Amino acid sequence: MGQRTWRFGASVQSAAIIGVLLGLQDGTHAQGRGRGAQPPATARAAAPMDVTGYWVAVITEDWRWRMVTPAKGDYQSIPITAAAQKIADAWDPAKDEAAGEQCKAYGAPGLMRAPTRLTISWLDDTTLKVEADYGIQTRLLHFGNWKSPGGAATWQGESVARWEGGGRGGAEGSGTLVVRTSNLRPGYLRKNGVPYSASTTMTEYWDLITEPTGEQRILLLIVVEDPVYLQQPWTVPVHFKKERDGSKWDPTPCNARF
Amino acid sequence: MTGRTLVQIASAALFAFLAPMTGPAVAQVDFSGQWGAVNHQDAMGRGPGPDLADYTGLPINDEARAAALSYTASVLGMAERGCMFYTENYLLFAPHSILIERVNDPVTGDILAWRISAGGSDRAPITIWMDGRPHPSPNAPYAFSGFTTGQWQGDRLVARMTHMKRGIMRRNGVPLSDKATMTLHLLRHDNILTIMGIIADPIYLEEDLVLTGSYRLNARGNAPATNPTCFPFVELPGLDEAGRVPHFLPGTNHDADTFAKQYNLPLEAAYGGAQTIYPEYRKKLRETYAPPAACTRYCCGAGGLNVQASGLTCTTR
Repeated sequence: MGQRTWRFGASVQSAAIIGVLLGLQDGTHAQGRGRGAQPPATARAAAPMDVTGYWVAVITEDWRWRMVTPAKGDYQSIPITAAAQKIADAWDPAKDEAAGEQCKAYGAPGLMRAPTRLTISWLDDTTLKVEADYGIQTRLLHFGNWKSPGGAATWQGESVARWEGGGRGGAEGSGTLVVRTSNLRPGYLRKNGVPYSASTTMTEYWDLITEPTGEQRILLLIVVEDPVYLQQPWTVPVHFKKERDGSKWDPTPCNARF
Repeated sequence: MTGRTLVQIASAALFAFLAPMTGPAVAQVDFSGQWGAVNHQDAMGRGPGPDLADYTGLPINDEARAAALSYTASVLGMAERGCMFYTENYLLFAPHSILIERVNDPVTGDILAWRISAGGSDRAPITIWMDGRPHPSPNAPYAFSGFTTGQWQGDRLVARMTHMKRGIMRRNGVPLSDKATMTLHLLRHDNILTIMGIIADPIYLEEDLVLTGSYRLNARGNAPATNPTCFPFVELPGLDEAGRVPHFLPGTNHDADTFAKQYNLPLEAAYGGAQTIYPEYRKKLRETYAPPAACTRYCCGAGGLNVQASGLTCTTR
């Protein structure tokens, strides 16, 4: 009897544990539906990391192609097609200026590798605003069920964003901001006229790096796909360092030459 | 149903519930596999090598600059230096694909370490210890492989390397001191691996040097786990003379301004420094810089090593 009683007691305990755990599971996975339903968290509330603030691009890579305009015909490192080479070889900044297209190198695929400062803020609960002083450009990253209003392609295109991994209050560095941009007006990957077409899409992975000193950096992986002018996705990481304030913000208009 | 059966069911349910909770503490992301290097930036510098006296993008100080200008690659032709490794930060500016292996604890099955192969390059494999072991004493021997420990930060593997020998920051002779440390961040997004390295060197850097590299998972990759055997010999005549070490004395490097002139850059920009890596430095450049009329060399990259797209008609390589 003694043994049987113990077994019965253990069974009751196990059942209780299962009940508690199942309850926990229900509690963690059933938010937003059924009893006590709460509205889904907004993108802003659900953010696993805070990328808002003032950031500066740190140009330690491709310096000669990013800090200054390289020579015409220099497409080193970019896996361009022969069609792209033809266009790059015909680059004429004067023509771009005459056509009012001096911002061709300031579209999103070129902008995010530019020597720029970024100011990132929430425009509303579902839209992250990324402003660049280089060319005075603004990108809007739309979360949730955002629908394109349609219309002509633009330099910054249309960006749909989502959080991946992590979770609010999760482990440091556990989340990623994934952004997919399309409807881009044709422009340049590089200031010297290396082109991207209207068929281009750009996928970005934004990760926040916090060093033991407290210094923060954004590691941004950019993947540009263009069936017309790229032989393979152009895959380049860049990085930004956080600044205390916007005192070095220096808006400069688009320039087709420098 | 007997009590024993109930206990068994309860135990199984408990295990099934807890298993996925405990898994991530062991390995958040699997980095193992063959990773093909994506050299879509600094292709020439990563592949064939940087131009002489091209220190652009490096936040180096005067001491580093002076040491770099005294360097000649002829030293690598000496028998005692021909097989010498680069330091592990070479991972961040080498063109090679890599093999990453998970090293399991033979008893617990937990991750004991991650091992990043050298990919056939001139550096030692990197072992990132994950078992919480401490770093050696600062007085312990330093090695080209350094000593590296890692920990998870969410889905990211963060590794800290100490105990590196004196080495290089760039293959044209920019030095790295044995006081340098390196933090590596490994991030995987789908089939792309990005490695970000933050290098601190109190001797040769004005501020931390941050470098990044990307890799694509390659099912057909064949980066070797170990390095090929190196057989030392004197590669240039005269280098076996006693006491001879190729070098430039201060002011005698005849290529000190070759790169700057080639690309119309002010010498100050070509020589690097912390001020040159921020956007505001363009104000200085704007007053002096004009792009060369046309690209005359390495316009498409160098061929091979995944740095040149095929089908281009480059006549100026």
